[in-house]
This record gives sequence, structure tokens and C-alpha cells, in this order.
Amino acid sequence: MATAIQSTKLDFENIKISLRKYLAAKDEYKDFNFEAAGINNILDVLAYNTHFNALTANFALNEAFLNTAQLRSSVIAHATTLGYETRSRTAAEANITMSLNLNGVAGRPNVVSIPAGFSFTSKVGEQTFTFLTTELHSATDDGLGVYNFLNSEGTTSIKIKEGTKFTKTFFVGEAGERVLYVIPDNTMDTATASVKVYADPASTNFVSYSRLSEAVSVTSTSRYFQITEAPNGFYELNFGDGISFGKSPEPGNKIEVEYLSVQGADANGASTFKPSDEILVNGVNYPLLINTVANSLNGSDVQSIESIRQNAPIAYAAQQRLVTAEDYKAVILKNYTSVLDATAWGGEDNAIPDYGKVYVSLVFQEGTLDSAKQVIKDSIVTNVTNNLSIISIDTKFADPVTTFLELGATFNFDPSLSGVTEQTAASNVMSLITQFFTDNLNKFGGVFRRSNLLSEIDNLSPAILNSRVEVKMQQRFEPTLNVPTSYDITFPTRLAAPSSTVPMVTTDTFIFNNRICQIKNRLNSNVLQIINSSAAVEVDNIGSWDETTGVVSLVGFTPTGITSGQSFLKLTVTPSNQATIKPLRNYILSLDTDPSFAAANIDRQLLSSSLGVGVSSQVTSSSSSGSSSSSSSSSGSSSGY
Amino acid sequence: MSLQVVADRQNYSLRRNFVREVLPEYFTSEYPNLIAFLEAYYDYADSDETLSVIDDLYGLRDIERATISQLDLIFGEIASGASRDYFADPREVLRNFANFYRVKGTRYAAEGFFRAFYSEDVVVEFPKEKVFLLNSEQHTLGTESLSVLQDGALYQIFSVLLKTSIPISTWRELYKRFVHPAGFYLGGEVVIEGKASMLGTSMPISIEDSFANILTVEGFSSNFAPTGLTHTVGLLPDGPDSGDGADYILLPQVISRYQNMSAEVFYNTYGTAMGAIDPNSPTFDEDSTVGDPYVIRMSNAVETMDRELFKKDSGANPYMLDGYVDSGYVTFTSYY
Repeated sequence: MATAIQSTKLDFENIKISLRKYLAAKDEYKDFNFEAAGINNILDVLAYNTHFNALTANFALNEAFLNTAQLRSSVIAHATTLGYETRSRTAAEANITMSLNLNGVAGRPNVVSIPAGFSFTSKVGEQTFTFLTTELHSATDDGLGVYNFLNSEGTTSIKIKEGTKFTKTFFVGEAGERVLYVIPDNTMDTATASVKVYADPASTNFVSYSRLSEAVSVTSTSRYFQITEAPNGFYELNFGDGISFGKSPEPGNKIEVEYLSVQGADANGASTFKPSDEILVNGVNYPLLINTVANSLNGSDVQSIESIRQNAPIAYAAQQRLVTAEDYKAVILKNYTSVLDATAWGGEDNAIPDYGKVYVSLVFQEGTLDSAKQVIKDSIVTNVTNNLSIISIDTKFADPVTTFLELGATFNFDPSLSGVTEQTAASNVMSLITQFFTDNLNKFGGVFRRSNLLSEIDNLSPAILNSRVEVKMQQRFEPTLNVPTSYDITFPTRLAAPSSTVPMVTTDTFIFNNRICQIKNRLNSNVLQIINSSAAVEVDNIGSWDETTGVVSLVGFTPTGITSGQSFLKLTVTPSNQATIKPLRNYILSLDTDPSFAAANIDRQLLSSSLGVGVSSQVTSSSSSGSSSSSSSSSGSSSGY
Repeated sequence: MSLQVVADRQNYSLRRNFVREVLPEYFTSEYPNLIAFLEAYYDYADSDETLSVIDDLYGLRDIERATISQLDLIFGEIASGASRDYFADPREVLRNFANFYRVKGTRYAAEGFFRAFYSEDVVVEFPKEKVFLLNSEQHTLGTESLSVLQDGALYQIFSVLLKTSIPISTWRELYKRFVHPAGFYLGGEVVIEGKASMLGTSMPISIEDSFANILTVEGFSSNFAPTGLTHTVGLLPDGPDSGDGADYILLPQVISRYQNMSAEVFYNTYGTAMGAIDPNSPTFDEDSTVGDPYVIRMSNAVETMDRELFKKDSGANPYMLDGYVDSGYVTFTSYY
């Protein structure tokens, strides 16, 4: 996070007063009247001079470091010195199948080909996007006149990318200073760029240049290019100097850069693709038949300043190698825009140690199909980990596991110190809790620290006098209905010991023996029971829980239905330490807004002759959209904290 | 205002006083007060912290000159969250961080990590070398081969063992973040370097590291016997006696050697039981013991450490030791 300039020190009036005091303290000026018009004007000029100099110096100082720079150009420049290539917009990608039916067409060809750049249109909302094929696709007559087009790997899933193809041409001038070629387009997807160099403007023969980031070795004659973001948001193309990064185009050469100008994330979610043209066979047009395999995704906007600030140092530490677990995270996040978050841990840290392996867990953009996820995982193994990791260390993937937190926030509220009602205050606290999770959790490595949340609640309004939050953890599992099945549900932290007053383990309700039931632990015991709605025990021992390992085990559990209508049951436990919940490995902490609530207890800060009498107002949030319900009670207790 | 130079390596003042050079020459004679006033302003600018940041601009990225807060920002960029507080010499560490990253996962990186973060040396071992292999000449049956069976933890192929004097709980997380190759078992062994107590009974044989996931403890003492010496001796730092050099004493005393001494004689000689094993208690001061038949003398039948342990200084004076002085104190410059 960037720091802010302490502008109060640069205030003009303060500087002027300081300057006047300094001069007045000197013997030669002690008799001066600094309020006189002439000298006062000079002081004004000098103070302004000081003010502007100091302000400029502070700007320069802040822009000098990655963590404090405010300008995008400064952040990019610092990232570049760390060897980090910032990400441009990226094109959304979809997968389709293409086929052509020429059944009955006389003299139909054996093979039909569609060149790269064949276009389709698709709408997302009201906006229309263009998608293009990225390579030549051919199809062979199956004998019945049906042609199924194949990709370069021989399968029918054809990748198309959103964007419009552009070509920028440069002519190389006289030899001299190293030249940067600026491509005046801030919508460019740099990953789609290809560079061809012609001997002269009339030549049709060209030499292709490759990306420097893909180089295995570089000599003075290697042909590599780099495209980086310019300070004004355009992109600049540069080549080697014939020494360090390979050969540079020569005077008289023509350089052609082809690339896609893309719309980024806006083009995600396209599901129907209409070919812009029909296929001409023997002088007759025939329609191309399209099926969507995967909706468009992976489109992203230009990398944000904060993302650059966060990822450049990690990528620098990784040095384009995969050794530590952090390296895996850095390199994957750098190369895969559709991966929103990643974590990795060595097999030695796995729940069941697995040496010689590194486990990776990924969070994808919402809506990413399982097949697309698998494609990305395969790509990570093929293109990243197999090439950059220590030989003999394998990569395994583990799905993220979400542990939900159920928070019960209560706070003392003095209405006389605020213009809002206790219901509104409770609603504000609930919104704050939701925002707290958005800002700090819902990601790998996000640690819940209750005191931080309480500080924010206390600071929300002067009318909030003190606050308290009860924390429970919830794991969800999908039971097999009507079939006795055993389950081990693992929580990321230790669990609280059994209590003599309240159950520490509960579930939401389900149908068992034709009754509405739930699981609770027997008081003072680790044994779990199935209890029906009349509080009668249906099954005395359906499992147990281990406080140390955080594992809740159900044995032979046979529900016949789930009353919530969902496919999963919520299993709720009390953590041993409610103040800090630190998830390991692939656990992610998130807020379950359904059971969470915020409740205000009226506290007018007056001495009262009666105890425990007050008014409470509770707000629960039932969805992330912010809808809420509230209820009031006159018997709420404000004691206990 | 003078041009400031830091250790002959950088000129960094941005605010040189050019008042006289910039203003027309006649100002100096016609308006001396204005000149003096402006020069006073530049003196103010030099002294006021508001503008001190201008001086900083030249050295912002200069590791040698950057302020502590600026060093923190550089650490934030290249040190993966490690604070400069970890390091005795953060500037030196910053100079070498890139090199450190390039060699991560290697023995060099592990050694560099412990030197940089903890100012300690570390011994890096690969336990796979001790794992028993069939048909290997290096791994034979029997205790002498010192081979171990694969145990699915420390003793397997993907394993690293670090021996250092710091408990693994102290360095594990940092080490894993900066150096440790993911997928490898990380074993830590606490190496104890202890000095013998002069009482001879409290030698630190082992200290348990209750946080270590693998505990193999070794005890070392700098004063254990070298080759050829059959007795364990203790080393006394040079005391306030008249001689130079350290004193050497016999540690494994047994109380039976005093069994024939009367309580009175024992008291007169040593004062306390502790005094009996304190080598400085018997002073060999013959001057003060005239007429006392029980006091320790060089030929005393009870205390014979001089005869048993230490070399003679000459054939004519067989029981004297190196450094013998007539005052009755004995010091040793060598003991073997």
C-alpha cells in the first residue's frame, strides 16, 4: 500500500512562520519588521519557494519506491527493474466445435480448411464482441459429407479468442541510439503479439522474432523482442542491441507487429458464437455449425497498480525458478490470469506427508468450467512446473476448502450519541463485518483476528461503546442420502473441548427416521448424537470429534433428506481459540452471512438500579447482496462484557 | 553553503548557495542586505527538516546512504517481507539478496541464510546418504556401518538435515520461505557447545529442544581430553594469582580419596566439601603451613595431582610444573 505525503509539514503558513522565526533569531535581523510590506513579500516568495521545493521532493521520494509510488508509470518502472513484466489486457477465450455438412454435395473436397483469424460474433449483455480462431483448422470428409474441424492436437475443441486483429508497421531508421518502437494502443493483448522483420519495405520474405521471456539461450544473433508498457499506457517494442539480448533489426528493415486489440474482462461469459461468414465450397456458401464447449473466460483488464506492487517482489524472489512453495505461487499467478489466487505447500507439510511433491491449490474466476480448470492445471504442469521446478519434484493439485465462520456480534449502543437507530447501527456493523471479510479474508492465507474486527466495530461510531464477537467455524459436506456412510470432516484449527452447558458440535437439520433431526454432541462428551426436534435421542453415538486434530467423524450416517433444500449439510463447531483462526494450506476463511448477526444492546451509560434489563436489536444478513432483516426485543441482556 | 561530500563517494547537496553567482554583480555592492538575507534563507533551508528530504533524493536508492526508513522500503521491494530488524548489517544483506535468491535451495543458500539472519554457522547434511542400500559397499550390515533404514521422514531421499545451535522453531518458517526446497523433509538438529563447569558435575551433556520435530542431540565440550590423556581435566581461566595462563584441574575426583583424613584435618585443609574439589583451595603455600603436618604439600600423599597428571619441568625438580612460582601458586602453560 502506498504511503501518503505528510502535507501538514509542507503547509505554506507554517513554513513562513518557521522562516520568520529563524531570521528573527539572528542578530543581524532581530530589529527587522517582518510584517512590513517589502520584507513580507520577500518572505512570501521564499516560503512559496520552500513549499514547492519540499512538495516536489516529497513527490520524488514517494515515487522512488515500489511500495510508495502513486503513479502507474513509477510502479511499472520499479517492477521492470525487478525483472517483472506487467500484464496487459488479456483476451477472453472460448472453446467451440466447428463442423460442416456437405452431405449430397457433388464433387465435395476431401479436406476443408479455415484459416487463422476466422471471426465469430457473440453478445454479453448488450455488448457485441468479436472472437477469432488462432490457427489453421482443417476437417476431413467422414465419408458422409460431414467435416469436423480439428485443432493442432487433433481434437475437436477449437479455441477462439476475443479481439480485433491489428498490424503496426515500423521502418528502421539510421543506426544510432537504441530505438523503442511505440505501439499507440492501450487495448493490446501483448501475449498475442507476433513480430516479423522484412529486409526492406517491398520484401515479402520475413524473419520472425520470438519473445525474450521464452528464450532458452541468447546470443548476439538471437532474434528476440520484448513488449513493455510505456509510461503513458501504450506499449513499446524493443529488441536486443546485438550484444546483450540478441540481434536488432537493421536500418532499412520493415517491422510488422500483429496483435489483438481486446476488451478484457467484459468479454467473459459469451456463450453463443455466430460465424461471420459461410464456407465457400465449389462456389457455393455453406453454413458452419457451431457448438459451444466452454463459455468465454480468462479475459482480464490491464494489471492493477496494487497487483503489480504485490506480485513484482514475489516474482523477483522466485527468479523464474520453482524451489520454495512461495515460488510456485508467484510464477503461477504471474502467468495465469484466470487464476485469482494460488497457494502451494511442500509435501512435507501435507496432512499426510508426501515427499517429493508440491501441492498447489488454485482459485479460478467465477464461472470457470471444470474442463477449463483442468486445461489450466495441465498447462501449469506442462509449461511451468515441469520446466522450472527441481527435477524429480512433482506437482499435485488440491481443491480449495472453504471454512465458513459464523459470527455473532453484540455491542453496547448509546442512541444519544448517534443520529441512527440501534437497528441501523446493527445493520452498519453487519455491513462492516462483511466488508472485513472481503478486505482481509476470502483468500489463501487470510487469518481471522478477532481483535482487529472489534477495533473496527468500536471505531464505527462513537455511539458504539464496546463490542463482542462469538466465533464458530462451519464446514459443509454433501451426505449420501439413504446410504449409511462414514465421513471425516476436517477443520483447519483445533476445536474447543466439550462443555457441560452447550453443545460444541451441531449441524443444521435433516430428515432421519422420518423426523427432523440434527447432530449435536452429548454434553461433556466428544460423542455425537442424532437428536430429533422433540429433543429425543434418535442415535446415541453417530460419531465423535477430536479436538487436537480438528476432525469430526461420522460413522454410518444415513439421512434421508436435507431440510434446507441444499445438497449439503452445515457442520458447526467452536474453535479452541476464537481470537485467532489461522487456516493452513488450502483452507480459505469466508463468512456465512445466514447464521451471522449483529445485535445492539441499548446502553445509555446511566447508573441503573436494575441489572440486565435493556433493549436489543439484532440484524442478520441473509445474502451477500446486502439484504437484511431485523428484530427487536425488550429482554436482551447487556451483561457479560 | 558548501558542497557536501559523503565519504568521498558522492556529492549530494541539491541546494548550493548560488546567490552571489546568480544575481547581478552590482547587487553585491548595491544591495548587500538582500544578498545577506537570501544567504540567510539558504541557511534556513539547510537547517529545516522540511527541505531535508531534498538532500535525501540523491541517496534514496543508495544502500550505503539510505536512511533507515528508506532501507525499509528497499527491503519491502526485494526482501520478500523480511524486516531489516533480522539483520546485524542490513546494508550488507541487501547487497547480497539477489545472489541469495539465485541460489535458493542449495547448501550455499542455507549457509548464507543462517549467517545473514542469525549470525550462526550451519552444517547441511543429506540423510539419504545414511539410508541403507542393498548391494552398496558403503552400506554394510552391522552397527559399524552407521546406516539406517528408510523411515519415511528424515531418512529418505527427499530430506535435508540442518545442524545449528538454534532451535528449529526459531528459524523454520523463515527458512522455508527463503531457502527450503518444497517437497523435502526439513530436519533440524540442535548442536550444543557447552563449557564444563569447574565443579565437574554439571557438564551439559544434552539439552532438549522440545520444539524440534526431530531431536538428535550432541554434546561437545571444549575441554574434553585430547589424545593420550587418560584423565578428564578442567580448564580454569587465568585467575588473580601471580602467574600467567590458565589452570588445569582433575575433574573426576572421588570422595574415597579423603576417607582416611580426619574431619578436623579435612576442615582445616578445605573448609567445606565444595572446597575439596575446588582446585584453588589448596594453595600449596608452604610459608603459611609451617608446623602443620596435614597441610597439602607438593609431596602430600593425598593430593598428588601434580605427580599424576602433569609433566615434570626437569629431572632435578620432578614435581614442579610449568609456570611454578615460589609464592606457592601454580599455573600451567601446558598440560601434556
